[in-house]
Amino acid sequence: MIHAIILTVPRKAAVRPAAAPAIIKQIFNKHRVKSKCLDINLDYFTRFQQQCDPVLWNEIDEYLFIKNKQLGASAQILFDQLIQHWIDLISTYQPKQLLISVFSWQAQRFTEKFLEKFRSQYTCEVIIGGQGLIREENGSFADRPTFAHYLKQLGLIDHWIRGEAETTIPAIIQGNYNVAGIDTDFFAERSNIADQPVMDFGDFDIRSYKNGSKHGVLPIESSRGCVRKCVFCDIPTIHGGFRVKSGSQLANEMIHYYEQYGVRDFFFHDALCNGSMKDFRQFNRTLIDYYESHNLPNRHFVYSSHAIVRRPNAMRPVDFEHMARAGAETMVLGIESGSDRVLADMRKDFTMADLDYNMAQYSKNKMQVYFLMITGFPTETEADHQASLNLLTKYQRFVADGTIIGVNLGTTLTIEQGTPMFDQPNTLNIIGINNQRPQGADWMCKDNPELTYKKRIMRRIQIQEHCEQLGYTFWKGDDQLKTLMDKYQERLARIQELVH
Amino acid sequence: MKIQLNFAVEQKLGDPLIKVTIDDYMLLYDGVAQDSLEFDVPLDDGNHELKITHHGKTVHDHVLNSDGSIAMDKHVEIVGIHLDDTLLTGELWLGKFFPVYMHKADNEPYSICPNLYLGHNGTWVLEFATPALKWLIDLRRQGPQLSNTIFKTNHQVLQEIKNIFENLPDV
Repeated sequence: MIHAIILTVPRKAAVRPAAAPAIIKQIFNKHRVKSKCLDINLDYFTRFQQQCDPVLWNEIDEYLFIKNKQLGASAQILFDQLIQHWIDLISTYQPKQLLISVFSWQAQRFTEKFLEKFRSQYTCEVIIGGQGLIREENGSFADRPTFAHYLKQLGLIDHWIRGEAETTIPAIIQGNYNVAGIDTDFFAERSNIADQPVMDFGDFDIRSYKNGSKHGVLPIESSRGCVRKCVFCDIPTIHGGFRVKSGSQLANEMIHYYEQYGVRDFFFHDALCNGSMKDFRQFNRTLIDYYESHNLPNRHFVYSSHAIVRRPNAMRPVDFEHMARAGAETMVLGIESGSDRVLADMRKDFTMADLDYNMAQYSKNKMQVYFLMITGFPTETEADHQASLNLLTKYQRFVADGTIIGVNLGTTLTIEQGTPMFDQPNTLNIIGINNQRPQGADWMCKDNPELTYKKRIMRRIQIQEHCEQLGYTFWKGDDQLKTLMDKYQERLARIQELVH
Repeated sequence: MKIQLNFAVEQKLGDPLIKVTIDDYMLLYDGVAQDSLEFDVPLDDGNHELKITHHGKTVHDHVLNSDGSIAMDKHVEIVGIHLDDTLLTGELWLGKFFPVYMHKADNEPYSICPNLYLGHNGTWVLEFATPALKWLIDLRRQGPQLSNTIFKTNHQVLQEIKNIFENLPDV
């Protein structure tokens, strides 16, 4: 008898199992409660996509993340069939609880439509959690989990979990819903990351995810929070102070997944793997020692992660060399801009000279990097924008030698709750539109008034075009441009409403 | 465009001579082979040919063992080429060597590929294009292929949305 079903729902890339369901399952295991993880998202991007007419599938896919999109009759039938297929399957397990991991705002529409039908056909306790508990327009942090409140009002859920499962699921198992994080606007108590048990991926068909890896890829976590305080980022607010697993604990966890599931590829889903250089060095050293003691070659495992750009005295050439030997494959770097002045305003804590050093080391040691960039930071002038274009031109050689494997530009700078920019907009002389508090894309900088929303979008488009001409692999461009178009049209409609 | 050529040069039987040209008309070097040569060449965008010619070798410029195998041979070996500071890897093996034989060559190949060892007199030819980095990127197509994934980026979508935005009011 399965007590709880833990669902992963569309829409997120089906490249590996999600971590949250595997963490929750392990907590259930610890309390001797039977649970099962099911991944609708994987089914959506494999079986369902393959059996759909591509045009109809595309219509459904856009419907999931474009707010103003509606489904035509044929697409609606297919979408309903997908949902019904899963309701039927879940019903066969007769669970007492259904837990849904709402990974981001892109999972909200599916969650709502799924629950509308599920609730009318099956009775059990429905609990949701995840980053998608707030509306997209509220960023990834808000003082109120608006989407959760909305579903609760509709009667589609019984409870929500805001924050970490480690401190809330055990209470739920004991029937105690009166703890921080359960149905509260504030976050759950934060756990000690070092106490976190290894995740249970036993329910996942690890090799069926679409990532090109023969052995499959698993998520892994080294830390929560961040050591830096970039003004546009809400991670320190969401996750609290920086907490990190010891390097040997982390390496041994990876070895456990290898021995248990045969997986050799890992992706760190935390904000950075090199927040604590002491632990990062120990992690790489432990892996290298494991290879040597088991007659395995260097890079027997490969891992990819977000990382911060560090100064030469903090991350020495030998650290890069050990990283490469341990198996570092792709590092996702938030490089943001080509302008030192903008980087300083962002409080990124590195310069272009530091980035040049990091890039040379990644290239020399044959590791890959993936750039995250932000266009339209409030203080970004035309000269700063040109500096970003120049940086991409200068680094074209790192595309040619295989070091840079992608650029992701996002949807221009937005000001989110929980970020220093939101809390102290005066620092950068930012004001809102129509006397509102600056939030989302609705802001302007008094020192840089020509940087309108349209200007920011046009700069973003120009960088994408520039990347295309230089031969960069550009990620998520279609999704992001369609999202920008959707947002801009919404803004136009709002303004027309005001005028009338 | 910056070109860097690296050679292993066998000088025990005297200095090999080489000539480096681009597209036949642009002479970059003619003289004694060096371990490394660097050039900064103004080239229009398009297709080009890099030619490295080994010349001046005579029938006396090799020494045979008693069994007839070659003990010592005047030669030049290409060990690396950088275009705009980027090392050619697999592309290097696309170069073809057209030997000039010093004997009647009924059964000898007209060209040898892959080959980086210029033992005979003759010309090694590599076709490439400029801008060189873009040529290499297109040729190598490294990294993940995103065309049918959630991560995709399409030129047509970019152009359509750019055109729409250009005509939208600035609000």
